[in-house]
Order: sequence, then structure tokens, then C-alpha cells
Amino acid sequence: MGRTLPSYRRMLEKERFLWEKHFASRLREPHRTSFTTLWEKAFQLADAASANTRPLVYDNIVMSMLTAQQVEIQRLNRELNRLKELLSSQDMT
Amino acid sequence: MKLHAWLHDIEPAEWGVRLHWLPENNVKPIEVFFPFTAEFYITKADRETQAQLLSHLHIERVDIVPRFRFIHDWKPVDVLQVKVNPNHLQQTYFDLRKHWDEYMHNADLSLYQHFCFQMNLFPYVYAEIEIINNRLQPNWRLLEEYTDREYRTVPFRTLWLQPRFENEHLLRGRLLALSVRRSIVDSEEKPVIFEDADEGTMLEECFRYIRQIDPDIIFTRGGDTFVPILAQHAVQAGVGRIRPGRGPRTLQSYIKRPNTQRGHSYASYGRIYFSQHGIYFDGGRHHYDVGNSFMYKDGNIEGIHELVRLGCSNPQRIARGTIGTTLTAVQMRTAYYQHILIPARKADAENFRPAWSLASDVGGLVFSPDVGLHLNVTEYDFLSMYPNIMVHRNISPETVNCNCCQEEAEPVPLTDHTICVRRPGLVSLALENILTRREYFKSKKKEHQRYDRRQKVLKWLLVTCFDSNTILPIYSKGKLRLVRIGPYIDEIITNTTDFEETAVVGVDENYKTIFNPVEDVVRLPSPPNLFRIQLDTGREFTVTGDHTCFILDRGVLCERSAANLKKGDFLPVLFSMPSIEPWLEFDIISVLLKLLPPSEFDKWRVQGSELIPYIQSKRSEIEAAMKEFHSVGALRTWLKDGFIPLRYFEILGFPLSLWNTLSVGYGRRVGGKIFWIPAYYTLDADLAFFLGYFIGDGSTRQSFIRLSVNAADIDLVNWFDQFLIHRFKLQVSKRKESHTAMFTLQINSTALVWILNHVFEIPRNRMSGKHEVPPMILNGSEEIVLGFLAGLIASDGDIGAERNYVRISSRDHSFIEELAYLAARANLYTIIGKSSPRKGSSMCTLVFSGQDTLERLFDKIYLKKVDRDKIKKRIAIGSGLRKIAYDIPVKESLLLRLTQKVRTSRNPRVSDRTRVPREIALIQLQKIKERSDRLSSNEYRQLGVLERLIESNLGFARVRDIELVPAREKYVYCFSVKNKIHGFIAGTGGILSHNCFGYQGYRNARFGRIEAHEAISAYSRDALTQTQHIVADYNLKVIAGIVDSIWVKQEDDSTPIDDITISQLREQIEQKVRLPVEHAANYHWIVFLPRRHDPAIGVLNRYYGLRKDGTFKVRGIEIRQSSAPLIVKDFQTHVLKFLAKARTQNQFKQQVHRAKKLLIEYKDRLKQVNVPLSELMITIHTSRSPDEYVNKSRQAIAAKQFSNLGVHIEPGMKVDFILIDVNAQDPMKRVKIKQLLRGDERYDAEEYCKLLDRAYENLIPPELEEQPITLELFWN
Repeated sequence: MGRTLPSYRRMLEKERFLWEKHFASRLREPHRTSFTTLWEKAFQLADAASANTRPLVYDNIVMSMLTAQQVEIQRLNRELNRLKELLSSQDMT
Repeated sequence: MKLHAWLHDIEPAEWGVRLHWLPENNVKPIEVFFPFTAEFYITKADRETQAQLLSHLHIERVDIVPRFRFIHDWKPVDVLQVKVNPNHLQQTYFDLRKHWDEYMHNADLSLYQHFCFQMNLFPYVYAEIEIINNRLQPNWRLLEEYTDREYRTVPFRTLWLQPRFENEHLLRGRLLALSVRRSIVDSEEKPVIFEDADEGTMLEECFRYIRQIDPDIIFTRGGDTFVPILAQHAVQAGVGRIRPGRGPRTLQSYIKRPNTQRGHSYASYGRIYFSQHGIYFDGGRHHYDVGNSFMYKDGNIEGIHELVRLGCSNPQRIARGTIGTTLTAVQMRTAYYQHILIPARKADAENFRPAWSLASDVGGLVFSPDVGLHLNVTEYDFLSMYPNIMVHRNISPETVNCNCCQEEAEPVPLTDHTICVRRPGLVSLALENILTRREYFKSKKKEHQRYDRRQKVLKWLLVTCFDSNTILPIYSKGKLRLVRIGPYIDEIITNTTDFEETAVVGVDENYKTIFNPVEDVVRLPSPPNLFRIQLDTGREFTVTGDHTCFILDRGVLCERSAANLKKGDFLPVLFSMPSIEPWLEFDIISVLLKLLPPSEFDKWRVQGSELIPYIQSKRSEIEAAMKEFHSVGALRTWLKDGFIPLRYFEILGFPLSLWNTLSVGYGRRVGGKIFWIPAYYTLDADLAFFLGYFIGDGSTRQSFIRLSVNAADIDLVNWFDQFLIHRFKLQVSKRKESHTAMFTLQINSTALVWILNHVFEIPRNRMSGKHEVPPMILNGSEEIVLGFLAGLIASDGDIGAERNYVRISSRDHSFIEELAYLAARANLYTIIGKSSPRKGSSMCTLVFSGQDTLERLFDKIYLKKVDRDKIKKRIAIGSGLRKIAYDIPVKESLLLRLTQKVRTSRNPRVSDRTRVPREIALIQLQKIKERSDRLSSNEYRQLGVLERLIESNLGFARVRDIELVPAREKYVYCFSVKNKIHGFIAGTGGILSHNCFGYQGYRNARFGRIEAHEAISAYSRDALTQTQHIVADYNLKVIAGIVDSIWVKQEDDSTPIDDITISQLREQIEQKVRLPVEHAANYHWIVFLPRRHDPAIGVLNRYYGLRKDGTFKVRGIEIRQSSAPLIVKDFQTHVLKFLAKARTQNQFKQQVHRAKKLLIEYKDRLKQVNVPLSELMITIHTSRSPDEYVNKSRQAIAAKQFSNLGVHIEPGMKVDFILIDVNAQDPMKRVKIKQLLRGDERYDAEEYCKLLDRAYENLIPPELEEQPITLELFWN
């Protein structure tokens, strides 16, 4: 009794391959690095995405990337605020 | 000869079996014959098939028997049971398959299973047996049960046999030696070696020695491979007739037939395995090849023993099989005892469903690990998660998306599947047994290795019976009684009471109620839950889930199991009871003589002027009898006043025909006032009214009766006055209560009190059972029943404000239940209602409704004239007086269909209604008959069916609610009845229900179902998700989770989680997730490794960690891989030893440096090319045959080298080789298989260094080497 559907990770690999072949190969640096990073993020969230089986694997990939981007934005915001506070405290002194 | 022995082996014989028993005290094994036929089942039960089958040479007889055919069946069907000669089991199976392939069941069971299932035995059972003339007598006595967890281990005689050939690796060349050891455990035992002789002599001597020892089991390593080779050698040496077993089979018969005995390859968990064709010895000697026995490696002989007992299978087969073989066998055994047919092949395919729903096919949940080193980690494991989910969530092929449950079916989280809540699944049951056994074993394993578990046989599940408290009418020995089914059947079973003349109320073919004779009674242990079926007129009954009920469908009563009933189904209910001979006259004197103790005989006197001549004529006899008790003078008084103490009444020989002229009285022995009351009564409506009133509002003491009457009902007071004088010749004293508007009527008569208690069987008060329908009322005429109910209503009842119903309420639910049956005796329409419970008790109400019911009842009920007139007017209008349960359901009865066909459904209206009064149905019936020319022949037949239904005395009530209730009693009960319609009336309000088959109901599933698999995965994901939330509540962090394991740590991992939190968390998870959870380990540290090409992403199956007890848990690295060369494993073991010293990140970093140095040392050693070849051997399982390889991979080359040697390599076989020169032009020179090695080969040091580098990186990836702290690459 096996699974009917291929695993999400396998589909993810396949999608990445296709996107690299037909899309990333036309990109120039630094866009290409950004492309690779985005796919890394998709892989990092593959555990959650694989539990959410959908007919179109692309949905999960995009949602993973968006979530990862949001995390990155929040991290940068925190960093920005920290630097702002640091600067203002230096101004005070 | 009687002896105690273990059943060791079962072999076929002509029309029987040869059984090999191992007697205790290790004496010689015994072979006995036992006559036996195996049973096949053919689900085509027609005479033609039966006749054809009987013409087969190896079939003894063919019978028609009821069996459950499909897993979802609740009712057995007739099938053919074919008795087959065990000696030709397989041949008969193949013969029958040609004609009845799709109908065959239980046909591919092994002889072991046929015999054990049919005889209720199991292999290795310890029993007391009797043998006469080499035949086993059927009177064996089991000394241990299948369910026993503790059992004796069999004292096998064992032997270890190992040959040595010239070419050891290829088992080729001359046979050099045969070594035999007695013990398989004692490695120091010196083996007996047969060598330095020609092959024939060696073989003969060796097997002669074996015969002397006479072992029960011969162990070998690789025997499944070498025995056929030994056989070839034996034939060449002219000793092929040596017999290795105890039976007649010779060694030469084991020479392999290449086409049929090749063994087979199979895939499991992504890998190809090869299983060698098994070599089984005969005659009660078994052969276990420990190299071809996964079970032996895991469980030793005791493990095999346990599985053999559980699965009732051939031990030699079990030893070579997988756990799946045993699981299937356990399921089959369970199914057999449930009378469920076992299909020869998988029969239950995946249901058709939209592609979209494949979304639920997801698999287990994982939380990708945070790559890197984590300190102070705790691991929790779900114990045997998938089997436990199956057991705890009741997952089995037949329970997933079942047809029986509607809204109540348990939804599987995040899928469209549902799980049955009504019956336990077969797979979950079989697994439960195994899980229970495992738990027991776990708890005992420290005490002794042999401890094992027995499975819990849950035979009591799914029996088809009623709850113990179900009320039902019983007609026995000319009397009707209302009984509770439980105590009634208990009494029959306990006291072996006769029930030959007992009947229950059933229906005939025309749906008229009749008394249906009882054929048998059934009492079975109760399942944990029962179904309470509530109908819309307050009727209800409680039955087991698979109890068959009748429902009205297409004009006829169809059978449906209780669990499959749906809201809205129409169930037949009782309307009128079959007529009985009323029980009208009561003779007090006979009852007194029968019931009174002789000491009371002097207090009771019989009076009547007709007595005097009889006293005189028998004077001398009376005087003789008086001496002891009375003075002679007393006789004069008796003669004068015409009475005599009861003691002497029988002496008189007073004619029975004149007893109705007598009176009886009770008084003190010494004399005093005696109130005489008549000694003979005819039960009529007035007396019944009095009794009814007394039950409602009366009470008794030792010597008087009191009745309370409303002060407004002065007419009633007068009526009682007149009645008591007229009927009992007793005066009534009336007292007006001072504070309430009540009259109290007091009748002073000890005799009347006694008569009420003993003759009319009305106990004194409610506690002693006053609230019961007196038997003579239940057996009375319609008039009497009406009178009794009127009396009861006059005392305790009330009339609705709208005057459209009359009601009796009581806290005593059983009294109301009895009254409902009583009302049915008089064809009165009733509804049973229950008020909501208040202060711990609830009122139960019996409502009389319907025009004719009320008309007849009001005739008897005491009413003021004004009220009576009003009510009569009201009844005449007839509004609000419908008898719903007496109505005809329009759709289910086919009334609607037929009226639509003849176009009369609108006048009187039938369409758009659920049911119509019977009167309307009758009008419509007439109309349909008038226009019957419009009906087809089929519809004309249906008209007959409808007519029968309308004229029947069954009503129909709709199912309002079905609820699962816990069983209150230990047993459930049922009757088996004689008549054609196998049903009887039972339950509150009287519901027609099917009788018991005595079967238990579900069918084996010897196969899986994808939906079941999806449901299990879904539950496992849900469990892990819930666990993650619980962990978060404890402010802990989940660092990884893989299907059934989860690793957690503190946010600041320098400190470990304290013990209290660990245990609290475990309990919390177990409680919320409802699956057993184990605190698996605490780790000093654990390293989750990244993907090889993607260092930021953790992988789920590669990690290693140091437990607090100093041991390692390692997954997915070379140390665990069988293919890795010894040197690589050795290196990794060394590295782990270094790392084991680390407790902090810095210490870990220091040890990593040491590991690096070690790598260099190992590589240097390799480069010097002086590492022994045995340390460099790579072992790989081939994945295909040599010819199928298209590339030049290492295993392809190795397989090819085997082919060149003339050895056929099957997929899954292991090949060992050394890397010689991986870059060689000639692929055949790149590697060399073990069998070709001379010992002086140079290996490819560079390639082995690469393997070492990779092994190092697999343990300590470059990122970890630089920064051994967790790689916080993502979540900041």
C-alpha cells in the first residue's frame, strides 16, 4: 500500500529544476543569487508545505517563499530599530 | 494411553491428519492419526453447484451453512461448506478454482490453519491427550488456553548442522566435512565433525548420528541454500535416500528444481531483498535456516514459538516469513471465529473518488530539524504509533468511510474520511491483541526472556442482543407475563428451567400479531456500548449494534442492523396483542390452602349454611383431627354458626361446584368479630376499576385498606361504598380530611388485605412492587383492562385541558412500560413521554390518545356528568386526536406510488405527507382497487402488499434518535423463535425486532485500504501538531519531529529540562493526543545534519546524539549502513568516542579537532596499502539481475563477476567486493568480488580515502566544524 502522490520535496526539486532551466538561466547577477535564496527558503519550509497537499505544488512554493520573506522583513525591521536606538543613544551622549 | 504433550507438527493424510506430539519428560515424539476434513466455502449456494461439488473425488460432503460474506455485512447468508480431503487440499483448490474462482473462500488457508481453526487448537498447545491404536481420541483437554500469557516453553531437542565445502564462499567443490553441535547457544561445545572420508560415508554417518539424537529442530546457517547442494552430493555418492526428517522424504528430493524453487525477491522500504526458497523437513522435524529467518534473529526460538501459536501457522513457514505473515494469520483466525469468510485474494479495492481528494494522501508529518548541535535535548516517542492509532481510533478497512454512521461518524482530521463509531474494526482488534501482548512482554522482559503475551480475544464484541432491562411480553403455560429479558433468561439458564411452552409476541405473514414459540435463549457477554433507538411515539429499545431490526421499506418489513438505522426510518410497533383466554374467576379457598402456612389455618374460617350438613356428616373425622388444636365443644359453635376453620375444610369433602356459595373470614384464634367476605370472585370491570384505583391512590396496613378520594368526587365515594358492600360485604368508614379536600375511605378487613396481596398479587406498597400490572389484569378481557386503566386514571391520571388526551404519570418508568403493553391488550393507542430529569428523577407519562381510544376509556372513567358531556362533544369533533403511530407511512408503504399511478393522491390528500391516518389509507386503497386496471402486474402485486399492511395490526413509528449508551449489565440477551418471520415484540412500547442469530458480525480484511492508510497518517500528523502546541505551552522549543518522535529543548539549552516538567509534559501529551507516549531519552547533545548539497536545510533521517546514559543514537550515517566497509565504520566509531567526552559547545569543538587528526591517521594507514582486505569489503544488495543492469556501477560489475562464475544472482542478494581500481578502463577490473579474491590484491587507496572523507563529513559537516553552535540561519 504505497502513496499515490509523489512527495512534496520531490516535486519541489522538480519545480526548481524547471525554473532554473527556463527562468533562472536568463537572469543576471545579483538576481540569480536572489532566485537561489528564495528557493532555499522554500526548501526550509518544506515540512509545513508537505503537510498541505494541494493539486498545484506552486501554491505551496509561493506561500513558503512569502512566509520566509516576511520573516526576513521582520528581522530587518528589528535590526533597523536596534540600530536607530543605538544611533539615538549615541546622539544623546 | 493418556499423556501430556505439545502439538509440534501437523501433516496431511488421507481423510485426516498426522499429528506429531512432543510428550513431556523429553521422551520419544509420538505420531498419531486423526480423522479430519478441511472446510472450503463457496458463496454460490444452489443445488446444482452442490451436486457438482459432490461429484469431486476429494470432497466428502457439501452443506449449506450461514456465514458472513462481506466485511460490511451485518447478516449472514447461506453458503456451501465443502469438506475436503486434507491430503489433496491444493489439488482440490485448483480444481474448484476453474469453476468457482470468484466464489471461493477459506480455500487458501494452510492445513495448519484449517486444522487449528476447526478443532479450536493451536500449534504448541500443551494438552492432555489420549491415544488408542495410534489414533488420537477427540477427548483432549487443553492445559493452556490460546489467551494465556504465561505458558510452558517446549523442551525441544535441537541440533546445529554445518557443512564445509572446498570453495566455502561458493559452496562448491568437494564436501570436506559436516559438523554437528547439540547446543545452539553454547559456543564452547566441541562439535562432532565428520571428515576425512568419502562424501557418501560422511553423509551417512552424519545423518545416522542425527537419527540417534533425533532432534525436533535442526538449525543451520544457509541451510536453505546448502541442503539442495548436499542433496546433489548425496545422489552422486549414491546415498540420496538418506532421510533428513523423521518422515519418509529423502535427501535427494531436496535437489532444487530451478524453475519452481528459486526463492523470490521483494521490495521493502525502498530496498530489494531476496528470500531463499525454504527447505522444510518432514515427519515432525523442523529445519530453521537462521540466515533466512528474520524472526529468528529478532526473537530466537521463543519468538517463533509465540508467533506460531498466535497465527496457527506452520513453524517452518513462520520462521522464514515476515511479521506481515503472522498479522494476516491472526486476522484470519479472528475472522474465522466470527464466521466471516476469508477471501482467497484481495477483494476490497479503493473506492472511486475525485482526484482532488488525493490531497489527503500526505504521509507522516515532519518538523525539519534545526541543523547543528543542540545541548540538553529531550526526546519523546509515540509508542508503536501507527498500530496504536489503528487501535485507539478504530481504523480498519471496514470502518473507514463506513455506510452505517451518519453525522456521528468521527471525522479524520483534515481529510474527508470518517471513522465508524458503531463497531470495532477487525484490523484494530487484531492489533489490539498484539499491542497488549507487547506491553505485557515489555513489562516482564527483565524477569525472563521467555515471557510473552497472549492476545485478548474479544469474542464478546458485536453480539446481536437486547439490553438486560428490555421489557417484553411472554406467554407461558396459558398466562401472559411481562418480564425483563435479562432476569428471565438468567433464570432459565441458571435453573435450566424448561421453556418449551414459552412464546413471545411476533407477527405472521399477514403482519397480525401471534404468539411465536421460543426455540432457544441466548445470553452473551455485553459489548461496552449499546444502541438506544428512540422512536417518535416515545417507544424505545436498547440493542447491540448489529442486532437486526425491521424497517418498513417498499411495503414490506426489511431487515437492517441497529447500527445502520437512520433517523426517519419507520419501525413496526405493537398495536394489539394476540387474543388470549381471559382469566376471570378466583377461588380464594384454593389460594389460601395453597399459600398459607399450616399455623395460619386456624385463623382463617370458611363460612356458609351449606357447610352444616357436611360438618355433621364428617363430625367424627373432624373431632379426631381437632384433638390437638381445639376443644371438642368448639364444634358445636361451628355447627350453630355454619363455619369451620380452614384446617378442617378439606375433611368435609365439600363439592367444588358449591364453593362459590361460601365466604371466608379472618379472626383471632380465640374468637372475636370476623368480617366475612365472599370466597369466590369473578373479575369484572368494576373490580378491575377498584384494583386500578387502589394501585393509584390506595394503601394497606396489616388489617385495613385506605383509599384517598378527592372531596369533589363525592359520587365516587358513594360508588366505593356501594361496591364494597355489594362485592365484599364490607362496610366503609369515611373520613373527611381536615386540611385537604380529601376523603379517606377505610375498609377494615385483614382478609381483604391478604386477598389483595396474594390473590390479586398487588403488593402492599411501591417499594415492594405495587406499581406493577397485576397478572390477572394483564390476562383479563378487554373490558377488564379498560376498567383497570379507568381506575388508575381516576386516581392518578389527568385529562388534558383540550380534552384530547388522558395521561398517567409515574416516576416508575417500568410501570409505564407495563401499562403501555396493557393498553395494547385492549387495542388502546398510547404514546410514551418522558419529562426532563429534575432533582435526579424524571417522570414518565403514558398518554392515551385517538378518538376510539378516548371514547372507550371515557365510558369507564368516573366523570361528573357535565364533564362527560363536554368530552363527548370534543371527541365527536375529533380534532387533535390523531394516532400517529397507527398512521400509514405514505412513501415507505408504496401508498403514494400507487395513488400517483391511479391519480388519486390528492383526494383525500396523500402526496406531500409523511403519513396518513389508516382510514384515509383505506379509502385510497378502495380507490386504487377501483382503478386497478391502470396498474402494471408488478404494481398490482404491490397493491396486495399495501392491503396487507393497512389491515395489519402493526403500527409504524419513526426513528427519532439513535444514541450510543454504555452497557449497564454484564450480559445481553435474546430469543431465537420458530416462526417464519423471525422477530418478536420487545422494548418500551413494544417494537417488532428481529431475533438473534447467535452470530457475531464482521468479516476479515486480509488486505489494506488506501483510505485507511490515509486516515492513519492524518491522525499521526494531527498528533504531532498537537504535541507541538503543547510543547510551546511549556515554553520549550521543538528542534525536530519525525512522524512519531519529537525532540525538545529549553530556549537556552545550557540547562536541561527538569524531571518534573519532562514527566508533566509526557502526561499532558498523552492526555490530549490520546495515544501512548514514552519519554525516550535525555541527551547531553544531539547533532542534526544538513543536506549534503544544501547546508542550510536539515534532513530528517541523519542525526546522532549522546544520551545521558552514555549511549549513542545514530541514524543515517555509515556506522549504521551494512554496505560501509569496516574501516569506515571503525573510523566513525572512534570519532564518536572522542565526541562522547564533550558536554559543551567548546568541548565539542575541541573533540572535532581530535577527530580531524584521526582522519589523517586513518588515511595514512590506507595509503600505506597494508589494511587487511576484510576491513575494506563493501556489501551491497543487488537491485536487479546481472543482465538487467545497463550501467557499469560497482554492484553491476560484481553481479556480472558472479554470472561469469556461473552463479546466478537474484535481485536482493548480497554481493561483497573490494574496490581495486575504480578508474580502470576495463570495468571488470574496477572491483573484485569476495569469492574471487586471492588475498594479495592491491586496493584503490584513494577511493577508500574518499569514503573516509565522506564519512567524516557526514559526521561533522564543514559548517559544524567552523561553528558548532546551531546554525541560526533562518529564524532570528
